[in-house]
Amino acid sequence: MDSREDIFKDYIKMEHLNENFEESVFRKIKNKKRQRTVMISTLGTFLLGGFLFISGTLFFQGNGDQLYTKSENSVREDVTITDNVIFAASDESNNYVIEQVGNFEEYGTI
Amino acid sequence: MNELIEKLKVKDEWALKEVMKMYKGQIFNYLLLMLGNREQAEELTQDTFVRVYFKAGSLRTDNLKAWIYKIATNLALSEFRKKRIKNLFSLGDVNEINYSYDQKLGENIIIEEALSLLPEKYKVPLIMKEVDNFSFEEMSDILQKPVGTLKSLVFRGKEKMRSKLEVQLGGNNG
Repeated sequence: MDSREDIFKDYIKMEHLNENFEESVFRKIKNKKRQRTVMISTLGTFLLGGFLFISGTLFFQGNGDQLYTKSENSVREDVTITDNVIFAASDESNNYVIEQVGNFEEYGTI
Repeated sequence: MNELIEKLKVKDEWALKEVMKMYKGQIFNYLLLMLGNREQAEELTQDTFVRVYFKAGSLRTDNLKAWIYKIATNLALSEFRKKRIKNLFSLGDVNEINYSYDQKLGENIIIEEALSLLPEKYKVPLIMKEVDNFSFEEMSDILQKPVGTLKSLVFRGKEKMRSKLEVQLGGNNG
């Protein structure tokens, strides 16, 4: 072995690839392309979903303020319970809120 | 060659077929020597050309062969890392290499066995220089190491190979 000038001089490359090697490469390329498409679609869906969610949240948050304001500004309504007792309620919808109760006979007004 | 590279850059399948015809055998044998396992070498050869197809757009050199070897080398190095991690958590022999091919010359077996025992830092430059006949400048470009370092690694790799071959031949004779 010492006389060997070049260790690999007698080394012979003799291994050969399978016949369907190129087919396998193109199959892998196709799969990778499909994976990329799926990944991009998923990412796009998530981004769109996130955008819609944030937009929706901001939109309804804004509307909530408006409803509250509308409720505050709604017309006050006095509802008579008996001749002497009334309570004042506001809000034009069904959600009546009792604010104060007064007895005119005794106190005149509150 | 330039036309082939240009076509490869625009993901032309004919160009990839031509490139595979030219280099698949060399890359396969290179990876086989590095990994010592036929199935793994074939798998990584396929992966090399898949990467060639997808990364050709970023190719900035005329030396297509060196670029393809660079991809194959990176894949082999990554495989070595995986093996190291796997061996770290197993009780198996660190240098256990599975030779799953049958027909070959006795000389080849001895060389491949000695090579399998060589650390990869010597093995990679040694195979590139001695088997694939790369120049040190090309190797420097592929392995991102200075020419002087590579000369030293090849020299020391040869010395280690010689001593391993002597031990193996001594063991076979005795």
